Amino acid sequence: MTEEISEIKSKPVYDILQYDPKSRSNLLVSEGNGLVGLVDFLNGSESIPPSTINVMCAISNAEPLNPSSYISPDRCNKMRLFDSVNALLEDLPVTLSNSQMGLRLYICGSEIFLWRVANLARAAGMHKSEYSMQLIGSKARRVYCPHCKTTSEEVTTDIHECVGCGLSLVNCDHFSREMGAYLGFRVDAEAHGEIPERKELYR
Amino acid sequence: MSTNFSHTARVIRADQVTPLIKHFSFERVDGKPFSPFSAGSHVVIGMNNGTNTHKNPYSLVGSSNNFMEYEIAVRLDSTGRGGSLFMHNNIELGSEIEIGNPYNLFPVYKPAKKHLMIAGGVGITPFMTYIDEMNLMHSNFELHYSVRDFENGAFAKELQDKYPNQVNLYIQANGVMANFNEILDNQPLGTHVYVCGPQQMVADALRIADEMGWPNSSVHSEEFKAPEPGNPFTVTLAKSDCKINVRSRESLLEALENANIEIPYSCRGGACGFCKTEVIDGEITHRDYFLTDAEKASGNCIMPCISRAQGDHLTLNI
Ligand code: FES
Repeated sequence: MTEEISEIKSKPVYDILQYDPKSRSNLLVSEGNGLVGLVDFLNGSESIPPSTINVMCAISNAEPLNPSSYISPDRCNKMRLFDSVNALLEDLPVTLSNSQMGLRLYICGSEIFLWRVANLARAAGMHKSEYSMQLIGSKARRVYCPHCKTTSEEVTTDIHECVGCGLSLVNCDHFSREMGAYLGFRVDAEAHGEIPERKELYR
Repeated sequence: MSTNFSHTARVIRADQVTPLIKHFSFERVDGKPFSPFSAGSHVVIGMNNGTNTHKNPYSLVGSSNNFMEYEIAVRLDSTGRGGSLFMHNNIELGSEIEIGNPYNLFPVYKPAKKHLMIAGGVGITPFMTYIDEMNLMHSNFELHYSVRDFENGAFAKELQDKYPNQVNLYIQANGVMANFNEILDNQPLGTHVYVCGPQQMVADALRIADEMGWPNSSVHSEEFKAPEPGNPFTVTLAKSDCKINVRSRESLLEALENANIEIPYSCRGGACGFCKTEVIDGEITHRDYFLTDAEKASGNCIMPCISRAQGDHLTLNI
Protein backbone atom coordinates (compact mmCIF):
# COMPACT_ATOMS: atom_id res chain seq x y z
CA MET A 1 0.00 0.00 0.00
CA THR A 2 1.29 3.43 -0.87
CA GLU A 3 1.37 5.92 1.88
CA GLU A 4 1.00 9.53 1.00
CA ILE A 5 3.42 11.90 2.63
CA SER A 6 0.82 14.05 4.24
CA GLU A 7 -2.91 14.02 4.87
CA ILE A 8 -4.42 17.47 5.30
CA LYS A 9 -8.11 18.29 5.25
CA SER A 10 -7.99 20.88 2.49
CA LYS A 11 -7.59 18.08 -0.06
CA PRO A 12 -10.75 18.39 -2.14
CA VAL A 13 -13.28 15.58 -2.44
CA TYR A 14 -15.24 15.25 -5.65
CA ASP A 15 -18.80 14.11 -6.15
CA ILE A 16 -20.75 12.94 -9.10
CA LEU A 17 -22.53 15.67 -11.06
CA GLN A 18 -25.95 16.56 -9.65
CA TYR A 19 -28.64 18.35 -11.61
CA ASP A 20 -29.95 21.52 -9.98
CA PRO A 21 -33.64 21.79 -10.92
CA LYS A 22 -33.62 25.53 -10.24
CA SER A 23 -31.21 26.09 -13.12
CA ARG A 24 -32.43 28.01 -16.14
CA SER A 25 -29.59 26.84 -18.34
CA ASN A 26 -26.96 24.16 -17.99
CA LEU A 27 -23.44 24.20 -19.36
CA LEU A 28 -21.66 20.84 -19.41
CA VAL A 29 -17.89 20.95 -19.85
CA SER A 30 -15.54 17.99 -20.15
CA GLU A 31 -12.08 16.99 -21.13
CA GLY A 32 -10.98 13.57 -22.43
CA ASN A 33 -12.63 10.74 -20.54
CA GLY A 34 -14.62 13.24 -18.53
CA LEU A 35 -17.16 12.87 -21.31
CA VAL A 36 -18.23 9.63 -19.62
CA GLY A 37 -19.33 11.64 -16.58
CA LEU A 38 -21.41 13.99 -18.74
CA VAL A 39 -23.09 11.06 -20.47
CA ASP A 40 -23.93 9.44 -17.11
CA PHE A 41 -25.24 12.76 -15.90
CA LEU A 42 -27.51 13.20 -18.92
CA ASN A 43 -28.75 9.61 -18.71
CA GLY A 44 -29.53 10.02 -15.04
CA SER A 45 -31.47 13.25 -15.39
CA GLU A 46 -33.82 12.89 -18.30
CA SER A 47 -36.07 15.64 -16.98
CA ILE A 48 -33.59 18.36 -18.02
CA PRO A 49 -35.09 20.19 -21.01
CA PRO A 50 -32.65 19.69 -23.92
CA SER A 51 -33.09 23.35 -24.92
CA THR A 52 -31.36 24.39 -21.67
CA ILE A 53 -28.28 22.21 -22.21
CA ASN A 54 -25.07 23.30 -23.88
CA VAL A 55 -22.05 21.03 -24.06
CA MET A 56 -18.38 21.86 -24.54
CA CYS A 57 -15.91 18.98 -24.88
CA ALA A 58 -12.16 18.97 -25.37
CA ILE A 59 -11.05 15.79 -27.15
CA SER A 60 -7.31 15.95 -26.81
CA ASN A 61 -6.37 12.50 -25.57
CA ALA A 62 -4.42 10.04 -27.66
CA GLU A 63 -7.48 7.87 -28.20
CA PRO A 64 -10.28 10.39 -28.20
CA LEU A 65 -13.81 9.37 -27.50
CA ASN A 66 -16.14 10.83 -30.03
CA PRO A 67 -18.71 12.90 -28.07
CA SER A 68 -21.15 12.87 -30.97
CA SER A 69 -21.55 9.12 -30.72
CA TYR A 70 -22.40 9.38 -27.02
CA ILE A 71 -24.60 12.46 -26.85
CA SER A 72 -27.29 12.65 -29.48
CA PRO A 73 -27.89 16.08 -31.02
CA ASP A 74 -31.52 16.23 -29.83
CA ARG A 75 -30.38 15.81 -26.20
CA CYS A 76 -28.91 19.31 -26.13
CA ASN A 77 -29.22 22.76 -27.58
CA LYS A 78 -25.66 22.91 -28.84
CA MET A 79 -22.55 20.75 -28.61
CA ARG A 80 -19.17 22.24 -29.32
CA LEU A 81 -15.99 20.23 -29.70
CA PHE A 82 -12.49 21.60 -29.12
CA ASP A 83 -9.32 19.89 -30.26
CA SER A 84 -7.41 20.89 -27.14
CA VAL A 85 -8.08 21.74 -23.52
CA ASN A 86 -6.48 25.13 -24.06
CA ALA A 87 -8.81 25.94 -26.93
CA LEU A 88 -11.77 25.14 -24.67
CA LEU A 89 -10.35 27.18 -21.80
CA GLU A 90 -9.81 30.13 -24.10
CA ASP A 91 -13.38 30.05 -25.28
CA LEU A 92 -15.01 29.50 -21.88
CA PRO A 93 -14.66 33.05 -20.47
CA VAL A 94 -16.38 34.41 -23.57
CA THR A 95 -19.18 31.86 -23.27
CA LEU A 96 -19.61 32.68 -19.56
CA SER A 97 -19.63 36.42 -20.07
CA ASN A 98 -22.48 35.94 -22.53
CA SER A 99 -24.43 33.85 -20.03
CA GLN A 100 -27.16 34.87 -17.62
CA MET A 101 -27.97 34.32 -13.96
CA GLY A 102 -29.55 30.92 -13.46
CA LEU A 103 -26.72 29.13 -15.28
CA ARG A 104 -25.31 25.98 -13.71
CA LEU A 105 -21.94 24.68 -14.79
CA TYR A 106 -21.11 20.95 -14.64
CA ILE A 107 -17.43 20.11 -15.02
CA CYS A 108 -15.96 16.67 -15.58
CA GLY A 109 -12.36 15.69 -16.24
CA SER A 110 -8.92 15.51 -14.66
CA GLU A 111 -8.23 17.31 -11.41
CA ILE A 112 -6.15 19.95 -13.16
CA PHE A 113 -8.92 20.58 -15.66
CA LEU A 114 -11.60 20.83 -12.95
CA TRP A 115 -9.80 23.61 -11.15
CA ARG A 116 -8.81 25.49 -14.26
CA VAL A 117 -12.48 25.58 -15.25
CA ALA A 118 -13.61 26.38 -11.70
CA ASN A 119 -11.23 29.34 -11.59
CA LEU A 120 -12.64 30.70 -14.83
CA ALA A 121 -16.14 30.26 -13.40
CA ARG A 122 -15.19 32.17 -10.29
CA ALA A 123 -13.60 34.90 -12.35
CA ALA A 124 -16.91 35.17 -14.20
CA GLY A 125 -18.61 35.84 -10.86
CA MET A 126 -19.98 32.36 -10.20
CA HIS A 127 -20.34 31.08 -6.65
CA LYS A 128 -19.37 27.52 -5.80
CA SER A 129 -23.02 26.63 -5.45
CA GLU A 130 -23.40 27.37 -9.18
CA TYR A 131 -20.94 24.76 -10.42
CA SER A 132 -20.24 21.15 -9.64
CA MET A 133 -17.25 18.99 -10.43
CA GLN A 134 -16.67 15.31 -11.04
CA LEU A 135 -13.19 13.85 -11.23
CA ILE A 136 -12.59 11.37 -14.02
CA GLY A 137 -9.18 10.83 -15.51
CA SER A 138 -5.77 11.94 -14.41
CA LYS A 139 -5.17 12.80 -10.79
CA ALA A 140 -1.97 14.56 -11.81
CA ARG A 141 -1.51 17.67 -9.72
CA ARG A 142 -0.53 21.25 -10.22
CA VAL A 143 2.03 22.04 -7.55
CA TYR A 144 2.86 25.51 -6.40
CA CYS A 145 6.41 26.29 -5.31
CA PRO A 146 6.45 28.73 -2.39
CA HIS A 147 10.13 29.48 -3.03
CA CYS A 148 9.97 30.79 -6.61
CA LYS A 149 6.15 31.07 -6.89
CA THR A 150 6.03 28.95 -10.04
CA THR A 151 3.37 26.31 -10.57
CA SER A 152 4.50 23.01 -12.09
CA GLU A 153 1.84 21.27 -14.16
CA GLU A 154 1.00 17.56 -14.46
CA VAL A 155 2.94 16.35 -11.45
CA THR A 156 2.36 12.63 -10.90
CA THR A 157 5.00 11.85 -8.29
CA ASP A 158 5.22 12.69 -4.60
CA ILE A 159 8.54 14.49 -5.19
CA HIS A 160 9.38 16.52 -8.25
CA GLU A 161 11.76 19.20 -9.41
CA CYS A 162 10.14 22.62 -9.58
CA VAL A 163 10.09 23.85 -13.19
CA GLY A 164 10.91 27.32 -11.93
CA CYS A 165 13.82 26.95 -9.54
CA GLY A 166 14.74 23.28 -9.79
CA LEU A 167 14.39 22.61 -6.06
CA SER A 168 13.08 19.19 -5.17
CA LEU A 169 9.58 19.68 -3.80
CA VAL A 170 7.37 17.26 -1.99
CA ASN A 171 3.74 18.03 -2.60
CA CYS A 172 1.43 17.83 0.35
CA ASP A 173 -2.36 17.62 0.39
CA HIS A 174 -2.73 21.26 1.21
CA PHE A 175 -4.80 22.54 -1.68
CA SER A 176 -5.53 26.10 -2.73
CA ARG A 177 -8.89 26.48 -4.45
CA GLU A 178 -7.89 29.91 -5.73
CA MET A 179 -4.88 28.52 -7.58
CA GLY A 180 -6.25 25.04 -8.19
CA ALA A 181 -2.84 23.84 -6.99
CA TYR A 182 -1.31 21.81 -4.20
CA LEU A 183 1.39 23.36 -2.09
CA GLY A 184 4.91 22.01 -2.51
CA PHE A 185 7.67 22.35 -0.01
CA ARG A 186 11.36 21.71 -0.14
CA VAL A 187 11.98 18.05 0.56
CA ASP A 188 15.56 18.66 1.71
CA ALA A 189 14.72 21.74 3.76
CA GLU A 190 16.40 20.32 6.84
CA ALA A 191 19.25 18.36 5.30
CA HIS A 192 20.11 19.92 1.95
CA GLY A 193 20.76 17.46 -0.81
CA GLU A 194 19.08 14.51 0.88
CA ILE A 195 16.42 13.64 -1.64
CA PRO A 196 14.44 10.45 -1.06
CA GLU A 197 13.41 8.30 -3.98
CA ARG A 198 10.27 9.51 -5.68
CA LYS A 199 7.09 7.47 -6.02
CA GLU A 200 4.45 7.78 -8.69
CA LEU A 201 1.21 8.45 -6.83
CA TYR A 202 -1.18 10.56 -8.89
CA ARG A 203 -2.03 8.98 -12.20
CA MET B 1 -27.02 58.98 28.26
CA SER B 2 -26.36 55.58 26.78
CA THR B 3 -22.76 54.57 26.25
CA ASN B 4 -23.82 53.33 22.80
CA PHE B 5 -23.81 56.89 21.52
CA SER B 6 -20.57 58.44 20.46
CA HIS B 7 -21.26 62.05 19.45
CA THR B 8 -23.57 64.96 19.89
CA ALA B 9 -24.44 66.44 16.52
CA ARG B 10 -26.29 69.49 15.29
CA VAL B 11 -28.71 69.80 12.38
CA ILE B 12 -27.20 71.95 9.64
CA ARG B 13 -29.88 71.31 7.00
CA ALA B 14 -33.45 70.01 7.22
CA ASP B 15 -35.52 69.73 4.05
CA GLN B 16 -38.96 68.29 3.53
CA VAL B 17 -38.14 66.37 0.33
CA THR B 18 -41.58 64.80 0.04
CA PRO B 19 -44.72 65.29 2.11
CA LEU B 20 -43.65 62.29 4.20
CA ILE B 21 -39.87 62.38 4.06
CA LYS B 22 -37.55 64.83 5.76
CA HIS B 23 -33.88 64.93 4.87
CA PHE B 24 -31.41 65.96 7.59
CA SER B 25 -27.70 66.81 7.56
CA PHE B 26 -25.67 66.83 10.76
CA GLU B 27 -22.27 68.00 11.87
CA ARG B 28 -20.52 67.19 15.12
CA VAL B 29 -20.84 69.92 17.71
CA ASP B 30 -17.12 69.55 18.51
CA GLY B 31 -16.33 70.34 14.86
CA LYS B 32 -14.45 67.07 14.30
CA PRO B 33 -15.06 64.67 11.38
CA PHE B 34 -17.39 61.70 11.77
CA SER B 35 -16.13 58.12 11.45
CA PRO B 36 -15.80 56.88 7.87
CA PHE B 37 -18.49 54.46 6.70
CA SER B 38 -19.11 52.07 3.85
CA ALA B 39 -22.09 52.15 1.50
CA GLY B 40 -25.20 50.65 3.09
CA SER B 41 -24.33 51.64 6.69
CA HIS B 42 -26.82 52.88 9.24
CA VAL B 43 -26.56 54.94 12.41
CA VAL B 44 -28.80 55.15 15.45
CA ILE B 45 -30.08 58.63 16.22
CA GLY B 46 -31.09 59.48 19.76
CA MET B 47 -33.54 62.32 20.32
CA ASN B 48 -34.72 63.52 23.65
CA ASN B 49 -38.27 64.72 23.85
CA GLY B 50 -37.93 65.96 27.41
CA THR B 51 -39.21 62.84 29.16
CA ASN B 52 -37.39 60.07 27.33
CA THR B 53 -34.99 59.33 24.48
CA HIS B 54 -36.17 57.83 21.19
CA LYS B 55 -33.50 55.83 19.43
CA ASN B 56 -34.12 54.97 15.82
CA PRO B 57 -31.81 53.48 13.18
CA TYR B 58 -31.49 55.24 9.83
CA SER B 59 -29.45 54.49 6.72
CA LEU B 60 -26.85 57.11 5.93
CA VAL B 61 -27.75 58.72 2.61
CA GLY B 62 -24.93 61.20 2.05
CA SER B 63 -21.61 60.73 0.30
CA SER B 64 -19.23 58.42 2.12
CA ASN B 65 -16.44 60.79 1.12
CA ASN B 66 -17.70 63.67 3.19
CA PHE B 67 -16.59 62.98 6.76
CA MET B 68 -17.79 66.32 8.08
CA GLU B 69 -21.47 65.54 7.58
CA TYR B 70 -23.85 62.67 8.08
CA GLU B 71 -27.15 62.68 6.23
CA ILE B 72 -30.31 60.69 6.87
CA ALA B 73 -33.85 60.64 5.48
CA VAL B 74 -36.75 60.08 7.87
CA ARG B 75 -40.13 58.82 6.77
CA LEU B 76 -43.03 60.01 8.88
CA ASP B 77 -44.78 57.00 10.35
CA SER B 78 -47.90 58.28 12.05
CA THR B 79 -48.85 54.80 13.25
CA GLY B 80 -45.40 54.29 14.77
CA ARG B 81 -44.27 54.97 18.27
CA GLY B 82 -43.44 58.62 17.91
CA GLY B 83 -39.76 58.76 16.92
CA SER B 84 -40.32 59.78 13.31
CA LEU B 85 -43.10 62.16 14.33
CA PHE B 86 -40.71 63.84 16.73
CA MET B 87 -38.01 64.09 14.04
CA HIS B 88 -40.53 65.70 11.68
CA ASN B 89 -42.13 68.10 14.13
CA ASN B 90 -39.43 69.00 16.60
CA ILE B 91 -36.02 68.55 14.99
CA GLU B 92 -35.04 71.55 12.92
CA LEU B 93 -32.03 73.63 11.97
CA GLY B 94 -29.77 73.93 15.01
CA SER B 95 -31.38 71.08 17.01
CA GLU B 96 -28.99 68.74 18.74
CA ILE B 97 -29.26 64.95 18.72
CA GLU B 98 -27.07 62.02 19.73
CA ILE B 99 -25.58 59.85 17.04
CA GLY B 100 -23.98 56.40 17.24
CA ASN B 101 -21.18 54.90 15.22
CA PRO B 102 -22.08 53.65 11.75
CA TYR B 103 -22.58 49.93 11.33
CA ASN B 104 -23.10 48.03 8.09
CA LEU B 105 -25.53 45.12 7.88
CA PHE B 106 -26.09 45.60 4.16
CA PRO B 107 -22.72 45.97 2.45
CA VAL B 108 -22.08 46.07 -1.30
CA TYR B 109 -20.46 42.91 -2.70
CA LYS B 110 -17.68 44.67 -4.53
CA PRO B 111 -16.47 41.84 -6.84
CA ALA B 112 -19.93 41.51 -8.45
CA LYS B 113 -19.99 41.98 -12.23
CA LYS B 114 -23.16 44.00 -11.95
CA HIS B 115 -25.21 45.44 -9.08
CA LEU B 116 -28.98 45.25 -9.36
CA MET B 117 -30.89 47.24 -6.76
CA ILE B 118 -34.59 46.87 -6.01
CA ALA B 119 -36.10 49.49 -3.71
CA GLY B 120 -39.59 50.17 -2.43
CA GLY B 121 -40.54 53.46 -0.76
CA VAL B 122 -38.16 54.58 1.95
CA GLY B 123 -36.12 51.43 1.13
CA ILE B 124 -34.30 53.72 -1.29
CA THR B 125 -32.17 55.11 1.55
CA PRO B 126 -29.31 52.56 1.69
CA PHE B 127 -29.02 52.73 -2.10
CA MET B 128 -28.20 56.43 -2.00
CA THR B 129 -24.70 55.57 -0.72
CA TYR B 130 -24.53 52.47 -2.95
CA ILE B 131 -25.12 54.50 -6.09
CA ASP B 132 -22.67 57.15 -5.04
CA GLU B 133 -19.98 54.51 -4.53
CA MET B 134 -20.82 52.54 -7.69
CA ASN B 135 -20.73 55.68 -9.75
CA LEU B 136 -17.28 56.53 -8.38
CA MET B 137 -16.02 53.00 -9.02
CA HIS B 138 -17.54 52.95 -12.53
CA SER B 139 -19.41 49.77 -11.64
CA ASN B 140 -22.23 48.45 -13.72
CA PHE B 141 -25.46 49.11 -11.80
CA GLU B 142 -29.20 49.33 -12.26
CA LEU B 143 -31.88 50.57 -9.86
CA HIS B 144 -35.56 49.62 -9.87
CA TYR B 145 -37.42 51.90 -7.52
CA SER B 146 -41.13 51.60 -6.72
CA VAL B 147 -42.96 54.55 -5.18
CA ARG B 148 -46.58 55.17 -4.39
CA ASP B 149 -46.67 58.38 -6.41
CA PHE B 150 -44.04 60.69 -7.81
CA GLU B 151 -44.59 63.24 -5.07
CA ASN B 152 -43.78 60.68 -2.40
CA GLY B 153 -40.76 59.19 -4.08
CA ALA B 154 -37.83 60.48 -2.05
CA PHE B 155 -34.86 61.38 -4.27
CA ALA B 156 -36.77 60.01 -7.28
CA LYS B 157 -36.33 63.07 -9.43
CA GLU B 158 -32.72 63.68 -8.52
CA LEU B 159 -31.82 60.03 -9.20
CA GLN B 160 -33.62 59.99 -12.49
CA ASP B 161 -31.99 63.24 -13.64
CA LYS B 162 -28.54 62.09 -12.65
CA TYR B 163 -28.70 58.50 -13.90
CA PRO B 164 -31.36 58.36 -16.61
CA ASN B 165 -30.03 55.11 -18.04
CA GLN B 166 -29.67 53.21 -14.80
CA VAL B 167 -32.71 54.31 -12.83
CA ASN B 168 -36.13 52.77 -13.47
CA LEU B 169 -39.06 54.31 -11.58
CA TYR B 170 -42.35 52.53 -11.00
CA ILE B 171 -45.13 54.86 -9.92
CA GLN B 172 -47.93 52.81 -8.45
CA ALA B 173 -50.44 55.69 -8.63
CA ASN B 174 -50.03 55.52 -12.42
CA GLY B 175 -50.60 51.77 -12.36
CA VAL B 176 -46.95 50.93 -13.05
CA MET B 177 -45.69 48.03 -10.95
CA ALA B 178 -42.24 46.53 -10.88
CA ASN B 179 -42.28 43.01 -12.30
CA PHE B 180 -39.57 41.05 -10.50
CA ASN B 181 -39.70 38.21 -13.00
CA GLU B 182 -38.76 40.61 -15.76
CA ILE B 183 -36.19 42.49 -13.70
CA LEU B 184 -34.40 39.33 -12.63
CA ASP B 185 -34.59 37.68 -16.02
CA ASN B 186 -31.63 37.83 -18.38
CA GLN B 187 -29.25 39.44 -15.94
CA PRO B 188 -25.61 38.75 -16.78
CA LEU B 189 -23.77 36.01 -14.92
CA GLY B 190 -22.06 37.41 -11.83
CA THR B 191 -24.84 39.92 -11.01
CA HIS B 192 -25.73 40.51 -7.35
CA VAL B 193 -29.18 41.74 -6.39
CA TYR B 194 -29.95 43.92 -3.35
CA VAL B 195 -33.51 44.40 -2.15
CA CYS B 196 -34.72 46.93 0.41
CA GLY B 197 -38.27 47.94 1.18
CA PRO B 198 -41.50 46.71 2.75
CA GLN B 199 -41.58 43.16 4.07
CA GLN B 200 -43.89 41.77 1.39
CA MET B 201 -41.88 43.27 -1.45
CA VAL B 202 -38.64 41.86 -0.08
CA ALA B 203 -40.22 38.43 0.41
CA ASP B 204 -41.59 38.42 -3.17
CA ALA B 205 -38.28 39.46 -4.71
CA LEU B 206 -36.37 36.85 -2.72
CA ARG B 207 -38.76 34.07 -3.65
CA ILE B 208 -38.69 34.93 -7.34
CA ALA B 209 -34.88 35.17 -7.37
CA ASP B 210 -34.70 31.72 -5.82
CA GLU B 211 -37.15 30.26 -8.34
CA MET B 212 -35.10 31.76 -11.14
CA GLY B 213 -31.95 30.01 -10.01
CA TRP B 214 -30.16 32.88 -8.30
CA PRO B 215 -27.89 31.41 -5.61
CA ASN B 216 -28.45 32.76 -2.08
CA SER B 217 -24.95 34.18 -2.11
CA SER B 218 -25.91 36.62 -4.88
CA VAL B 219 -29.08 37.88 -3.19
CA HIS B 220 -28.95 40.47 -0.40
CA SER B 221 -31.80 42.14 1.43
CA GLU B 222 -32.62 44.57 4.15
CA GLU B 223 -36.07 45.01 5.57
CA PHE B 224 -37.21 47.80 7.74
CA LYS B 225 -38.74 46.45 10.85
CA ALA B 226 -39.55 48.65 13.79
CA PRO B 227 -40.73 47.41 17.15
CA GLU B 228 -44.50 46.99 17.17
CA PRO B 229 -46.66 47.83 20.13
CA GLY B 230 -47.92 44.80 22.04
CA ASN B 231 -49.37 43.73 25.34
CA PRO B 232 -47.68 45.14 28.43
CA PHE B 233 -45.69 42.66 30.51
CA THR B 234 -43.36 42.47 33.49
CA VAL B 235 -39.74 41.53 33.17
CA THR B 236 -37.75 40.15 36.08
CA LEU B 237 -33.98 40.58 36.03
CA ALA B 238 -32.58 37.50 37.76
CA LYS B 239 -29.07 38.80 38.45
CA SER B 240 -29.96 42.27 39.58
CA ASP B 241 -33.11 41.06 41.30
CA CYS B 242 -35.51 43.73 40.09
CA LYS B 243 -38.74 43.97 38.17
CA ILE B 244 -39.53 46.34 35.30
CA ASN B 245 -42.82 46.98 33.56
CA VAL B 246 -42.78 47.07 29.76
CA ARG B 247 -45.56 49.29 28.52
CA SER B 248 -47.52 48.46 25.43
CA ARG B 249 -45.91 51.13 23.21
CA GLU B 250 -42.30 50.57 24.23
CA SER B 251 -39.95 47.75 23.30
CA LEU B 252 -38.29 45.55 25.89
CA LEU B 253 -34.96 47.18 25.02
CA GLU B 254 -36.41 50.64 25.56
CA ALA B 255 -37.95 49.64 28.90
CA LEU B 256 -34.55 48.33 30.05
CA GLU B 257 -32.83 51.49 28.87
CA ASN B 258 -35.36 53.66 30.63
CA ALA B 259 -34.50 51.76 33.81
CA ASN B 260 -30.82 52.58 33.16
CA ILE B 261 -29.90 49.06 32.17
CA GLU B 262 -27.40 49.03 29.32
CA ILE B 263 -27.81 46.43 26.61
CA PRO B 264 -25.55 46.59 23.53
CA TYR B 265 -27.42 47.31 20.29
CA SER B 266 -26.86 48.45 16.75
CA CYS B 267 -29.79 48.01 14.39
CA ARG B 268 -32.72 48.12 16.84
CA GLY B 269 -34.59 46.11 14.25
CA GLY B 270 -33.83 42.47 15.01
CA ALA B 271 -31.06 41.98 12.46
CA CYS B 272 -27.60 42.56 13.92
CA GLY B 273 -27.63 40.28 16.94
CA PHE B 274 -26.00 42.76 19.29
CA CYS B 275 -28.81 42.83 21.84
CA LYS B 276 -29.22 39.04 22.27
CA THR B 277 -30.20 38.35 25.88
CA GLU B 278 -30.64 35.11 27.79
CA VAL B 279 -34.15 34.24 28.96
CA ILE B 280 -34.69 32.00 31.99
CA ASP B 281 -38.44 31.91 32.14
CA GLY B 282 -41.51 32.97 30.16
CA GLU B 283 -42.80 32.48 26.62
CA ILE B 284 -41.39 34.68 23.83
CA THR B 285 -42.93 36.08 20.64
CA HIS B 286 -39.89 36.24 18.35
CA ARG B 287 -39.93 38.88 15.61
CA ASP B 288 -36.22 39.09 14.71
CA TYR B 289 -34.25 37.85 11.69
CA PHE B 290 -31.19 36.98 13.68
CA LEU B 291 -31.88 33.89 15.78
CA THR B 292 -32.00 30.51 14.09
CA ASP B 293 -35.26 28.58 14.16
CA ALA B 294 -33.69 26.20 16.67
CA GLU B 295 -32.71 29.07 18.95
CA LYS B 296 -36.20 30.51 18.71
CA ALA B 297 -37.74 27.16 19.52
CA SER B 298 -35.44 26.64 22.50
CA GLY B 299 -36.96 29.75 24.06
CA ASN B 300 -33.82 30.65 25.99
CA CYS B 301 -32.85 33.86 24.23
CA ILE B 302 -34.55 36.99 22.94
CA MET B 303 -33.70 40.04 20.82
CA PRO B 304 -35.21 42.70 23.14
CA CYS B 305 -35.07 45.45 20.48
CA ILE B 306 -37.96 43.85 18.62
CA SER B 307 -39.39 40.80 20.43
CA ARG B 308 -41.71 40.68 23.41
CA ALA B 309 -43.18 38.32 25.98
CA GLN B 310 -46.04 36.19 24.76
CA GLY B 311 -47.68 36.18 28.18
CA ASP B 312 -47.47 38.67 30.99
CA HIS B 313 -43.94 38.02 32.23
CA LEU B 314 -40.37 37.17 31.24
CA THR B 315 -37.29 36.49 33.35
CA LEU B 316 -33.94 37.56 31.90
CA ASN B 317 -30.54 36.36 33.04
CA ILE B 318 -29.07 39.83 33.52
S1 FES C 1 -30.12 45.69 18.23
FE1 FES C 1 -29.77 44.55 16.43
S2 FES C 1 -30.85 42.72 16.86
FE2 FES C 1 -31.39 43.98 18.52
